[in-house]
Amino acid sequence: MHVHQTDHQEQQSLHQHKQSEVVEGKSLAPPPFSLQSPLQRKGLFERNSNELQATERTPYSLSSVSQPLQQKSRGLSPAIQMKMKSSSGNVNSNAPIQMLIRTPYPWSGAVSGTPMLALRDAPQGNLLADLARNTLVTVNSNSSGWLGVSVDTSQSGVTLNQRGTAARSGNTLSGYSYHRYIDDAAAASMTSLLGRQSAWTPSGPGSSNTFDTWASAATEGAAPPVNSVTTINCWEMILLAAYRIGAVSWSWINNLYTNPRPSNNAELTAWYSSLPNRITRGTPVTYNQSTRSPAPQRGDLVFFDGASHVTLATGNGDEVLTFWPPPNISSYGRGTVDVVKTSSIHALSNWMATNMSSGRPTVTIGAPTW
Amino acid sequence: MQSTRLDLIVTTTLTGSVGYGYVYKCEVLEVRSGEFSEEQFILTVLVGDRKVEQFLSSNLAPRELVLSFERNKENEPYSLMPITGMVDGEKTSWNLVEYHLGE
Repeated sequence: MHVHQTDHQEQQSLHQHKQSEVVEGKSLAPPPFSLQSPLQRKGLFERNSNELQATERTPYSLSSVSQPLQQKSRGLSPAIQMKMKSSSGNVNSNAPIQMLIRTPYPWSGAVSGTPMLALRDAPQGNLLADLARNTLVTVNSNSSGWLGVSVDTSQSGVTLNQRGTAARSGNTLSGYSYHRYIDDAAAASMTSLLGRQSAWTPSGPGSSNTFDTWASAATEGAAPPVNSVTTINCWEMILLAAYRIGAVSWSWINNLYTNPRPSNNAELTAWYSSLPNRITRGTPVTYNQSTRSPAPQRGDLVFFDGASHVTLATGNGDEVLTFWPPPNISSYGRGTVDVVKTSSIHALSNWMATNMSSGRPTVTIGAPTW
Repeated sequence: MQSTRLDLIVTTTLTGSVGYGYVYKCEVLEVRSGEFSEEQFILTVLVGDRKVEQFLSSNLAPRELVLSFERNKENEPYSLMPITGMVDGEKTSWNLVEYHLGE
């Protein structure tokens, strides 16, 4: 498990993000052991009313809990109080939305959208631990929106209470957290890289670009920074994002790049051809570009003509996170500096059809192995 | 297309690159040997094929090149495959085996 230091730019982004989260996350929610209302005891205090399942609703309206929220807000900046007022009756209106409770299980998740997340011993049950933002969890199940998760308690962001300390097995603690605040780990990490520059280059084992040099080294070194000097390709940016949040280890990436280590064109062809199957579970399924189905889940890997281009689904329709100059940069070459950005399957497919093929590329989708 | 070898005179333009290599659009000027009815095709060059890449990038259109291919596989799943070569309109892949400047 790796939880990596962020650089200065990320710290700034994190700071700005945290400011916006104060009204949305646990800092405004009452401490789990001081809850007064049934709604609060059920851990639903911070939920958007639109999100509550019918079975989870209580007689208490959101307005009935707005008073303590407003009292809590007195120490906040005027801007944040204004934001609270604007969201009255619809708390968390600006919170990040976890669009899908993804399957199959298990999958790597990360605490997101709140500075601290409660881990409970059952859905709406007793608190076991507080999980800080970006804490990595393994999601194993779903029960009415409560995800069954296990967490490595040796991570710095895990704060156990007495019950949690007693319940853990070795360094593993299992419990339940509300799905809204657990994002797909790689998608969360890649999202944090939006707008960050790197130098695009085709790659793979033996390419000697920055990522390949790191991935193929004899021992683990410092991960490549995401900056304009780092040369990297589309799937490597995804692997790097997954590594940065701890969803995959360097050893796993090293094994991907060195076992086997292609030494000629035929072996390279085999390596590239097998890549989609090696980084997904099972065989990726074909995406119907006319009906735009099946809709990719957040965190799914989306392939265009196999490994020709690889992206990560955001879970918002056919939107993807991508590192590749097209479709908005058409004239590019080895070393062209571009940013991690969002695009769509449709736009990327159109671009490839126009510039690189006699027809649309075949798009396939698969859940990642992590 | 039954032949196992193609010798084509082409001009090439670089259209970009994909995850595993470079992508060139080739205009077919003449079929020297083999059967090939397409007026243009997409040539991919694996990133590790530095000599091929150097040759092609140094000899873009209007220079005429002689590219020789050998039949590789039929029923390829994609029109872009991770090979140094091309996939024709019938989904047969061809490996680039020789290349030189046209006369």
